[in-house]
Amino acid sequence: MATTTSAPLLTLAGIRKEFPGVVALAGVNFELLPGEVHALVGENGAGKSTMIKIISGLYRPDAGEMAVGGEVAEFRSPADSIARRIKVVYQELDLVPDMSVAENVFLGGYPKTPRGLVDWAALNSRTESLLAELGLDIDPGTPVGELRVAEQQLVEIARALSQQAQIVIMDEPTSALSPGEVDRLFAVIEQLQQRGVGIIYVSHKLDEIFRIADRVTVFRDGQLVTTTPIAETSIQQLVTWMVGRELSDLYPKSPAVIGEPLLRVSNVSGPGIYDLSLTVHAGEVVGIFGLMGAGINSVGRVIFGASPRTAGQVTLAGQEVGAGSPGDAMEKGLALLTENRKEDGLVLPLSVKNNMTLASLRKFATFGWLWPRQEIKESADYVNRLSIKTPSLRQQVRFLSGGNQQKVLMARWMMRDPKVLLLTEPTRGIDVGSKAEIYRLIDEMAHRGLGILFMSTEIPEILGIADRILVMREGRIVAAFGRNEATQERLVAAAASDLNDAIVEAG
Amino acid sequence: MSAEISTPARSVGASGQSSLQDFLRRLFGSQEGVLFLIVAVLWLYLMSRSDVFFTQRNIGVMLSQVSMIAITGFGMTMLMIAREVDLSVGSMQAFAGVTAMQALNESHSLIVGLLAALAVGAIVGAINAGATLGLKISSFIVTLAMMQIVRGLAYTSTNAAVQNEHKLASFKKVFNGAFIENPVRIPNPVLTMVIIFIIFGLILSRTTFGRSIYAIGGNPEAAALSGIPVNRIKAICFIITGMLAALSAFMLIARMNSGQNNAGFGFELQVIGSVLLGGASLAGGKGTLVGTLLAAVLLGTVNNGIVLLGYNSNWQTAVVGLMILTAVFLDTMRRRMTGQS
Ligand SMILES: Nc1ncnc2c1ncn2[C@@H]1O[C@H](COP(=O)(O)OP(=O)(O)OP(=O)(O)O)[C@@H](O)[C@H]1O
Ligand SMILES: [Mg+2]
Repeated sequence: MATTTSAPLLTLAGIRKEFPGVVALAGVNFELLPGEVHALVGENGAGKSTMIKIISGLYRPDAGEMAVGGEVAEFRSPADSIARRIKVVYQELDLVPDMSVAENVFLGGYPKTPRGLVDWAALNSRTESLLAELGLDIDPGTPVGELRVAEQQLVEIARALSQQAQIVIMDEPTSALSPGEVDRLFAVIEQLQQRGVGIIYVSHKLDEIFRIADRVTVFRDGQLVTTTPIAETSIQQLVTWMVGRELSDLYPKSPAVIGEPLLRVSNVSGPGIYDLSLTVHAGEVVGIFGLMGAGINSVGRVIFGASPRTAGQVTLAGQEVGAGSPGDAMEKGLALLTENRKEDGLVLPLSVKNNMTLASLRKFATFGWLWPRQEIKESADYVNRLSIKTPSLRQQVRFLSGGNQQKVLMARWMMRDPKVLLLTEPTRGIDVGSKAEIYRLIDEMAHRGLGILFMSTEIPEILGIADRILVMREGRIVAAFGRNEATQERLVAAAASDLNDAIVEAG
Repeated sequence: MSAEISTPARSVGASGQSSLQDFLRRLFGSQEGVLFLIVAVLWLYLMSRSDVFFTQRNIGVMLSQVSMIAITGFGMTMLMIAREVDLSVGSMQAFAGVTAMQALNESHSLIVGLLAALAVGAIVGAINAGATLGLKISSFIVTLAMMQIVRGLAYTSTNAAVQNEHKLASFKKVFNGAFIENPVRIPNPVLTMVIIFIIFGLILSRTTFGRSIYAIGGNPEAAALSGIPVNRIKAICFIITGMLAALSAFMLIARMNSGQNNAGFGFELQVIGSVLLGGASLAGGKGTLVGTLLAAVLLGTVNNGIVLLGYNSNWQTAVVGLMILTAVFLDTMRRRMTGQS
């Protein structure tokens, strides 16, 4: 717990940052104490990442002052902030994949022998002891590229220790972690706390914040709404502050009207999935739950043809869908939102509008000639419906906040009016208000007779919106539940238990 | 504490603001705007320094030279937006030109000669596409090899040059750069350049094909998952570039009145330099024809100025290198400023 008497590690006073058409931060005052975990929450585009980038020296504020350890700090580049012992663990990790864990941990400051060569023995042993302090047993010689994301993140934290960081900042660190890995991360965070390190923790997962944070600061539209000790608030209260109104129902779910079978997947195998069979009916939301690494990310890709299908058959409304051909899948009425928005979703240099209409170009064209007015009209419509925060439709999508980028991709696929929508982790990195909005859209689409296959690692949303839930483990479906039989406990048990036990349970 | 919170940028109208200020910021904030300014300043300077510069004849001759770089550059722009490149366009000036002149001499038909050039361009473009996309080799390597192969073909088809033996009157008229009795009194090469600029400009900005090119360059995986036939579109870009380079070659033989097997040395760098300075990036996803055109005009103006002001004309070679450096420098600066890695 933070000792309230100690002087702040970091102080921001009146920090302001504008981008063309957007006030990202409108005069923010903020304080970080030694040994505290200070959570930042706020809707997508509220300015959280911008504040972090200012602290880390990536952006320079337009106005305001920053002080580290009581001394005024004017950072010109990330090197300046590192020199003041600030470490940022970004969501896109900046490790060098081909180098070993040890080389990464001490990157830029290797221990030297008296003759000026790298002291490999010291490098490895010091890394080993750092990792041991964090309770990790990773071989310092492993190339970082071979580690899981969670482990890479912990290596980043070890690097923070090697740089003797006083301030550690984490931007949405748990969005790609399994529950076990989250526990381990939290244990490490507590250790850092005990050393007096101050931690800024950005997340959309409010339950996590109540587990780990001492204080929480809420942003809305570039303004700091309030800072409060976590013990004096509640999830409900935070949501109200973030959204600016009370959020009544997170999972709007109307009774499903199940129609004809639309998508039939029979005995399909591909990279990461084995012998997958399932049916999605018109008007139905089928959820697939699995832990991180269980293969749920491959389901959509193989069905859609983004990854090769080595066996089995896929039909949509009776028509066979060719293997390995996204074009054919789209033609037949499938749409796929992948879990990886930067890698295979967004076209960063293109505008918001052009990203949205990318999969529906033919709809806006006659013989290949585009009619911009229709494109603009429909894109503007989606910007408003999904409340996407952007100064204009012409804004490059690269400049949108993470959550708003995700909404742009949702719009891309909704625009196509598909028959069946395959959604992989569609709410990753999205704020509560927009989550509710996306669940409402899913419900509405199902109501209009679309079939929806919804892959997620988050139990509450699966329970909240799915009519039927399949559980995946090691690439296979191991259990199936109706909406009324599914509970958190049963899903967890099925996802984690032995294959045999789970099949018995499912049977 | 939470009172009076404004909501900036909540919703969006159909288009952005269009105040004069906004217009000026866009003009100077864009590569095209800056190039336009530089060209304008340079023209004013040369007008003040030389009586010859702003004569119809000089501007016409200068722009006729520019037109070959620009026309090939329009294809190259499309290719580079799609993250590919074609280094064989210089050798194409020789080979397509020699072949076209031979065909003209055989057939005594302008159309047959032109078609021969275009066919050579299309075939070389198709081979570039096939090797790059089919064998998954970088187009830089493939077209570097093609650059040598095509040059070799030009050398083997004639000892030095194929002379004009057909004496077609129409041939001299069509692309030779003189002032022809067309109603606008613009040299035909320049007119051709303008027409091609308009056609491909519209294709890039107003068609699904053009949009797809930008998407492919910006993120090929995302484009493929959005149903865009990535390889087909890239292949078409290679073929278009080959054909436009061949058209330039045809314009060149019309001007020289012969097809020379050593024509077009360094031409590929002039073209790629113009495309880069015009705002395209080796990383793909961006670039415009306006930028390429302005950069080509800038290059032509500088070359013209070097001659008019009496400097050693060998500086013209160095200018191209300077241009490429400047382009890459500007690209890097812009990325830093907008906070991209
Ligand atoms: N480089 C930039 N250029 C232009 N606008 C930007 C830039 N970076 C951020 N913005 C804008 O500033 C606002 C704040 O963005 P920021 O990334 O800080 O939000 P965030 O709170 O981190 O949201 P999320 O939860 O979605 O990650 C957004 O409206 C965003 O579009
Ligand atoms: Mg963010």
